[in-house]
Amino acid sequence: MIEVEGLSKRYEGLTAVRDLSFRVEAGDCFGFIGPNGAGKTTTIRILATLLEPTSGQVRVDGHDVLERPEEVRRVMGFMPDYYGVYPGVRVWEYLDFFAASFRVGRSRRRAVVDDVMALTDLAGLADRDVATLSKGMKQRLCLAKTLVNDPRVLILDEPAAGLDPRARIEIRTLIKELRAMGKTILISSHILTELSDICNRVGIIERGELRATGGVEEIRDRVRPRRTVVFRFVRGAPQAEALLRTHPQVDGVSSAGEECLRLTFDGAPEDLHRLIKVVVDAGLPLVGLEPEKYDLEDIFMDVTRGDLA
Amino acid sequence: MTPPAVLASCLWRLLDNPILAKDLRAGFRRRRFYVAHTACVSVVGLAIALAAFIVAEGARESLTPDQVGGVLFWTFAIAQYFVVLLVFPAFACTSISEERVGQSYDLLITTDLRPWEIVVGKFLVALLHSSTFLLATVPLVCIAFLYGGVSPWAIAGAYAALGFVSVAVTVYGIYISAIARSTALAVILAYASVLVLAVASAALVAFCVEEWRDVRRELVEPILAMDLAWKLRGLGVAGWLVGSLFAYFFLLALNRLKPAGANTSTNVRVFFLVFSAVTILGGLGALVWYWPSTPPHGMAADWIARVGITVSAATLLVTSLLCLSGVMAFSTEFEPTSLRVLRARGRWAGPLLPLRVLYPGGASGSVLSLGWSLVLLSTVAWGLVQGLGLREVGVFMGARGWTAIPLSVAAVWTLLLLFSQTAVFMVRLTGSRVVARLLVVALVLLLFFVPLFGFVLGERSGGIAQGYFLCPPLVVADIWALQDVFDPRWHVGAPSLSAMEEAVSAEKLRLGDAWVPALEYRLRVEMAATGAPLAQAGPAAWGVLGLVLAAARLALEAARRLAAPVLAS
Repeated sequence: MIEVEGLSKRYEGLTAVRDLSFRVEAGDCFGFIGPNGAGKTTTIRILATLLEPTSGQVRVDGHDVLERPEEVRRVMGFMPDYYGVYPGVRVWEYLDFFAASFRVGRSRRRAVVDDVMALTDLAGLADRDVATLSKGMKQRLCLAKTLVNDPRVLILDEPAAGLDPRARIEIRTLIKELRAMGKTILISSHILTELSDICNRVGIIERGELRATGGVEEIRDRVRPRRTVVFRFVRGAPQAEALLRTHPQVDGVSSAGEECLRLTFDGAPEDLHRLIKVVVDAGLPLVGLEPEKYDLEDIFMDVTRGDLA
Repeated sequence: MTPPAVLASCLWRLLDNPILAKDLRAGFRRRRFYVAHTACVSVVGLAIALAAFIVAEGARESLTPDQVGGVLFWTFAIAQYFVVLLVFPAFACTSISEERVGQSYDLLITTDLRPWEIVVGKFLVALLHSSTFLLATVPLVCIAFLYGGVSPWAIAGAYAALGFVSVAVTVYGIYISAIARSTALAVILAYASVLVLAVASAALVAFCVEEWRDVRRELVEPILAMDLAWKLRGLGVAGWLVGSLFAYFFLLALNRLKPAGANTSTNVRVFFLVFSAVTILGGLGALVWYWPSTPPHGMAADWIARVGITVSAATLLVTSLLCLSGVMAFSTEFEPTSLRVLRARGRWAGPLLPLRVLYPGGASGSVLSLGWSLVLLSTVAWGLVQGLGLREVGVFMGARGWTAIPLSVAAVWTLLLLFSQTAVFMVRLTGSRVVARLLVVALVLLLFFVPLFGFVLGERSGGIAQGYFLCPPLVVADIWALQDVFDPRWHVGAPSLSAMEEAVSAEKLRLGDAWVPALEYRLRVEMAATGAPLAQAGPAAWGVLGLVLAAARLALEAARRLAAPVLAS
């Protein structure tokens, strides 16, 4: 649905994006993550036909963004990171304007506006001046606006930025709902825990280059093939340590507190049961097992080096 | 589809623009709209009240009612003109830049709306929004009609001129709005340009009117001698030039809104070549056609030559202006591709060099054509000095014969250097190349119009006391009023129209070959002046209607305010 091949964008004295390539398949929710200044917004603005790439090809739903920008805009819903609303315009008028701008017929427009307001929980605010809405409501309004033309592809740049926890959860729920509706979504965000919850694939960008791309599990296996687990015993941790050190799949054992061992092993999650069996067969009282947390944030920290483009 | 159906469909598409509804709603709901509206009506009302006071003082010197009405109308026309100059740019120049500043621009241009629809929508919104300020002050002018002395033609003429200026200012404002990155810059650029354009157009109109009114001048004879068909042709040429300029600014604004990487020069290139070809070839063709043959309608051959040179110079001036504004719009598209390719291959691009002159946005082309237009303008200036006896005015003071040329060139280049230095200074101060380029455009306008303005005020009108020429609508109204001077229907006791025709025919027969058309004008004025101006009952009724409208507007506003809390609850 979205194909980016060898994309580069150079400004005077600065390369914002360098030879970027990735694909987002139909129905995917692709998390686009990277530190500030990494080139996320530049890439997104090129996808949204707002910036001209220096080189490379970008296609959205098969349409080249440079050759067929009108077609791209027709199939795409775009939500920028910063945007303004029109003071003096009511919520339904705002959505009606965008529906009209996307050539939604006069007879169908009312129903479309009602539908997107219901979906984004804005129906109760239909007659409010958009300038008086809270930040969270404005985000929902902007998301509603991106839906009026029923786009197949949604490009959302930091949709949850600056929101309070409740508003963040509401936006996340909404995006999940959209994904369930079959939309292809490309979303950039700094709140990585939330992305891991809603995205099936991610791309990590730094200094304008793509460091890693794929499913979260896939990247984790690639970035850190060894797994770490904490074993908790009633007693006998030293004996267990001696026993486990001899196991061929175990890379290292260290103390993780009183009667606790941190075990690093090389293998798939199903290999863990063999290690548990070794300990249990030796009669050692194992009472707890905690795989050490390794989520998108850890992947991000491992993949990126923390320097800017 | 039949042509009317196509026209209706186009009109409907134009008016069914989503931007119209959205922006008008937002604009009319803002508090600042009501404040500005009230302030505008108050200022115009104050101006008329002031004029009424002055007229009342003058009444002691036995001013007739129609003269009082006339003065009030002129005051109103001036006030309306300044409303147009002050209000219209404010709405037009911020319409697109506000979207940028308000960060709604990206949302707007990623919709399915075409760039032309956005530009047209913004244009219509700015025009309609600003027009409400003009409409709000219409009831005030009706006070003048109570006194009479203002013919319907004068009103129609003044409003036609106001409408033209409004459209011109709005188109230009939209262009500025599309190129400016900030609202502040857009406002500065728009008002600076409008100031220059207002002075320039005032000078041009005043010059033309003075020539029109002064029957002794050579210029007026061929114009008066022209029949309606020829006058319409002249209007057609003026319409072509002005319309082309509108179209050009429209295209530049439109190109700014195109998607990233879109072609932004082909449409302008086509426009530019068509415009240049039609204008230059048309001008030369007319010159070749008429010069060697018997001059039509008593026009002297040397005048045809002067007109030809002036048209060529004006065309090249417009050309260079277009080039310069092209430089602003296409900073990355300086040269024709063919030239760039030839240079890249190390081949001589000599045969294609003329392309540079004709290419929009070409830096070298604009400099070349600007230089050439200046040479031609200097020639025209020399022609004016020699032909119209303007030696005693302004920069030409003391010039005799060929000395006028170096003096003209020196004056022009002094101004050029002054402005280029100012431009460089502004670039260093603000870092904005746009400011510098606009200064250069302003310079070109000033170079052409300031001396003209000086001639008009200094030599023709007896000095700055005749400064009402600063207001083109007033001048247009004045032309119509002048027409009425020899229209017996507006003069009680003047000879009838048929009597006037008979007198003109008799005078023609009497003078024979010595007859010149300008004499007809003078004869009609003299005959009409023997009657007393008619105090018009019709315009007085307009006045009553105006007062009713004013009262209705106030009542509606009061009702709206009273009903607002009830409706809100």
